[in-house]
Amino acid sequence: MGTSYEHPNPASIADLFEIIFGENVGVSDGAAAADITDQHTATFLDPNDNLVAACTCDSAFVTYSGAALSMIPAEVANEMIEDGEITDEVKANFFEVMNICSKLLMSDASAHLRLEKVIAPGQLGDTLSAFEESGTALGFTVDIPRYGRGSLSFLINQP
Amino acid sequence: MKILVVDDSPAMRMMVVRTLRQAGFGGNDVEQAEDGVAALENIRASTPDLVLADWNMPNMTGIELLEALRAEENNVDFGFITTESTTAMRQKATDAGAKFLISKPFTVEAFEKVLATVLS
Repeated sequence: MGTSYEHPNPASIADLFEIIFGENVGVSDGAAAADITDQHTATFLDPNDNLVAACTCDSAFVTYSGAALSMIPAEVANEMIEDGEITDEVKANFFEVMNICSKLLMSDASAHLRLEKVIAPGQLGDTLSAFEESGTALGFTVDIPRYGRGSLSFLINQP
Repeated sequence: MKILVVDDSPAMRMMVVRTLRQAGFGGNDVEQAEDGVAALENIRASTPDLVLADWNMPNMTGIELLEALRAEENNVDFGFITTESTTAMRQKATDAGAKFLISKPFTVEAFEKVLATVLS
């Protein structure tokens, strides 16, 4: 089994998100986050516990996706964004969204990977320093129906 | 019939229960547990007809729950609902005694197809 991982694209992301958020999720290519230190960062490990991928998300995507998963009203989600305070329930839901997003990186031909954790903004440190030389960064904008627009970037650490 | 849904994510448990209803299995008695430990206690108190469990959970994982049940000679019908859907994971689930593995994210159609046989 190979070690290379899939590169998510707008179609694969939309297909996955439409299963959990309903139809008409809009996904388009966007710029990968220039400064990831203020992002929420999910890290993914290979079977040998090596850090092989990450997904950095802005607060809008974290809040909208987490709220949409358990149908928390959009108005409540918008208040969280305005106040800069994301509830533990929404954070837990976002963790599950990232868990499901691990499938975007795998195929039958790739090695397995699993979600390790979600790192809060400002807590990243040098966690992703190894990605600077050999990483691939792919940015996307996601519109979740009835909620709003956020952005996420996949960072894949492979030659 | 009693169905036990086991997942550490309340949102995911809610989605499983909702999908069970949408797939036509809403008439069953559905109970929930947040991890393998809580599920094992629930099952020991009253064995359900079907367990739908996540794989990765704190305290006791889904596969550990299944192995514990089989060690107690409890042969309750057991299926996984998980992102762990590689060929190797499916084989491990089957070897441990699972009847099926539904991949997250799941659809109503997947529930209908798999559970129609198990709950018939």
